[in-house]
Amino acid sequence: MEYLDKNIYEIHEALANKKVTPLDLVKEALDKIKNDTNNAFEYVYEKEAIKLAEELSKQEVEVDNPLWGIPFAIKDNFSTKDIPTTASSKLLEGYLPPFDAEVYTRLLNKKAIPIAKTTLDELAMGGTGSSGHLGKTFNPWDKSKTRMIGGSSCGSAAACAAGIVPFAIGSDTGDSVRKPASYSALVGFKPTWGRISRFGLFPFAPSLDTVAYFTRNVKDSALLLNVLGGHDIKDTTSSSIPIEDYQSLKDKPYKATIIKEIYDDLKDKTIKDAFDKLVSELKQKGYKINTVSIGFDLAKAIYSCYYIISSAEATSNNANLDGIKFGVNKEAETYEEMLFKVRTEGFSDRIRRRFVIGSISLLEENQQEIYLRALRCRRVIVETFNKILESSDAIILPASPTIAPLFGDDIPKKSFAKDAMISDNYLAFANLGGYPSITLPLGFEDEMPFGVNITSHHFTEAKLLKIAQTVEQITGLKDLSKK
Amino acid sequence: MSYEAIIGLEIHLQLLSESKLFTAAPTTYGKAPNSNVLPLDMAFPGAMPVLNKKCVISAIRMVNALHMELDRLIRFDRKNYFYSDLAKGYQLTQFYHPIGKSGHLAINVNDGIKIIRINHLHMEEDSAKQIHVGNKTLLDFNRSGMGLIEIVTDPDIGNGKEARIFLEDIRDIAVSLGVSNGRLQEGSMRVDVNVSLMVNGVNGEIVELKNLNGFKNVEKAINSEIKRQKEIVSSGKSVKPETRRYDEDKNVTVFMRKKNTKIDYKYFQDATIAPIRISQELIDEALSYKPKKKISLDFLLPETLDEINNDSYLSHLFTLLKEEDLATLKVSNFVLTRVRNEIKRHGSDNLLQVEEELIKLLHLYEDSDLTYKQASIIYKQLLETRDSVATLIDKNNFNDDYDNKELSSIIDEILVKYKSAVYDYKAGKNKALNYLLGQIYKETNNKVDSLKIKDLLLMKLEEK
Repeated sequence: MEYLDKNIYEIHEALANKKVTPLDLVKEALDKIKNDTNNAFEYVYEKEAIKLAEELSKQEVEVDNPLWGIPFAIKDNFSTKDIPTTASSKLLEGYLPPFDAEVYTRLLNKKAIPIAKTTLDELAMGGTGSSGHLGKTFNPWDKSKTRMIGGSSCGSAAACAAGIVPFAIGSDTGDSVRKPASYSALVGFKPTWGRISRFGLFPFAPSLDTVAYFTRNVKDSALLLNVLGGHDIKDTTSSSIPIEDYQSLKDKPYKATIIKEIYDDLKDKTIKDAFDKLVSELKQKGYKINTVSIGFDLAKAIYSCYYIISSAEATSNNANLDGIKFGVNKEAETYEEMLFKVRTEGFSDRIRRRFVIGSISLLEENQQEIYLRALRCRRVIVETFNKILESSDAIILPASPTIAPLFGDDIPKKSFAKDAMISDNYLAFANLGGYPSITLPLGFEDEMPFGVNITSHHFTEAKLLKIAQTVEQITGLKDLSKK
Repeated sequence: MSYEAIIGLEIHLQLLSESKLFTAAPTTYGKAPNSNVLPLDMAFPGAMPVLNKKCVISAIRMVNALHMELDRLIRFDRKNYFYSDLAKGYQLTQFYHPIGKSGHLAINVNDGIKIIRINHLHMEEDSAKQIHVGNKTLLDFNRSGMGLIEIVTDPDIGNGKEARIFLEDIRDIAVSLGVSNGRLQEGSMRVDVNVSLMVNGVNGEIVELKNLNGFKNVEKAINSEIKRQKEIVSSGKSVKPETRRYDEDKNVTVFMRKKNTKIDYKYFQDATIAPIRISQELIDEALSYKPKKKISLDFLLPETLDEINNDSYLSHLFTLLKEEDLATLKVSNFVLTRVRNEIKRHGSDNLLQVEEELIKLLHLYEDSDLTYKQASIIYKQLLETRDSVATLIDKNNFNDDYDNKELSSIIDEILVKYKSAVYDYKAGKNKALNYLLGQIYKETNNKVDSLKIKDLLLMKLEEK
């Protein structure tokens, strides 16, 4: 009997009814990890998890704590004390952090069991799940191993989609959780910027970075927000707005908005049809759904704006990686020479390219024209979406215009050329604006999943999760995994 | 040709606070290298800054004291550059929105008051300390992340003396407000000076003076740099933009490095520290602090007053004396000889231990219950034994055995015995008076109040 392909509440019930023990769950997870071929893991808590599970198995199940004894995975860009943490960077090989990330601490306090650190695109920069130091991470839904699961939270997505853990922690700076969720039939949830403490999350672009996670259904996502959300004195950007009971809001027909330019950019008929069908069923439930145009230029600007701002911030956030204080060091005569060696050998070409772009955009001679222009652009984007979300409860759109792409397909697309794919790169608007945003399964094409994304105004997670639950009821797609 | 020196100052003050600007790591001085360190101070990934309220309070006090506009929304920016002593690869500072702007400070110069405009004041973090050993560089991150404020003046200063007076005033303000201990020698106050020469109304290149380790040296360095620049210009050459230091022995500035390329720090606003709105309560809290009052006593020389005000124990003791109505010339003289000596030799630790008894002793001395000599004896014993003053007086058996009549006859005897001294005194030699007094002290075993003796002696000399 296996349990880890079920949702958190189902596993909790099995624990409460003594059908299974935490030790059984840990053994199941470790066994599955051993046989997993998706290349999702950086570090597996073999001994630590067994030890923790043995202790828990001697105790009474905490019936009011659904996370008790539940194995989970966490992206390898969260600081975990004395557990190797690399962020998939060669430069951080062997790094043992001296402290725990706040989200990790909160999960440990709830007696959830960490089972693995999961791989990611190098330093969480990238959307393909193929640029980390372990290479490609595969999509469990694609047995031919030719399709990506997407990134940067590729390992967490793969672990959850393969039925190894019922939930996995990731981070979302552009769409790093919500996009892979679309490609792997998971719920991927990024709450409002500031809702969850980022203390211990390796910063990529702090004005955009958000702790996010994968679950098998919306209810589990709501549960996790109640545990992870709320102010943390160690992260002053975490909000002191009190958390709510995210599962208790009364269901009612809401108003949702489709963005014309993004919708019009869809080419895949299956995805378009599935989305149209969802819209008409929501209408039948009394939802008011309208379409709003934001202009082609603005829609197109989302990705370039995101790219400039995130790259600029990334150069600064990764300037601490010099091999002196931690990480891989190199012998050298001078500081300059050491820095040159460490950072040339430690970063891939892709990352160096990002840093160069980020640096160039911040230089005094360019700042006005590139970085500050991106900030002005960000303001226009945010004002536009704020306005939409003031008169509508949510924005609803397909989370991706395609099923998971083939490896190798991705690189030429991500340019700032005229044909930049609006519908493939728009999810970053929720990071630019700091909105809560959730992806959940919408349908399948060639046995590969695709998702729908819903985004609402700041700190309206309770409402957003309710709308997502309604969508979940309509599609009937939940608690999915692929062995 | 007409010359005018244009001088601007950049002053760093290390903030007095138990913990660093963004972490709870202690700031205690002299700890083992890399022991006062938390993850952020060494830029471990994921560690986040939390702004220290005490440092903000200090900044608000300084902003207020320098008549500046307070920016009530605190924001931080990143100054990006690579250097081994800069853990994060960027310094958190307030480039775009300094907490204070557009202030001024009036200084007293020879021909009256001069207003020095202050461009801005901002908070920022200190870097680690580099220690060069042979061909290796060691890094001590204890200083990394310590809170600083930087005060940047407009180029309103005209010479070395004005710069020194301005700096001393800033130091006094910072010390009296509990903002910094302002010690140039120990690095808790650091000054960079920009000096240029305006020739016939045209601005010259700026030379930066660094590593100046004393107020007097700042003055001398500036004056010698102005002289150097004048000489260059007079000989038809032009001043090059460079950084120079000051050679104290030769009283000249010395070339350090060229300033050819400006470093681009790629400033941008930080997003790991939430902007903080300064509440009225915080401002009230900051400004409710009563500054330590500067000691001012008419009968003391300005230099002496400076010395008192710049010494933390002496200024404390004189504050106490004022409260106790003991700030008289008599007691001041006692303190400035006896107590100052002790501070020079052993610091203030012993004095703090016996402070209560010292005040009692000074009361007895002021009220003439003890002579100068007696008070000195008790004072010495007090520091050695830490017994109470009452006990020490008992032990010394100082009772004044001489009534006025007795004393009068002793003086008469002395005047006869040392006739020549009396003549000398009459001839206007004041030294002779001291000589006579000394003889009387000896005769009375230092047990009679010296003023009483002096009064009596002068009276008798008049009669002669």
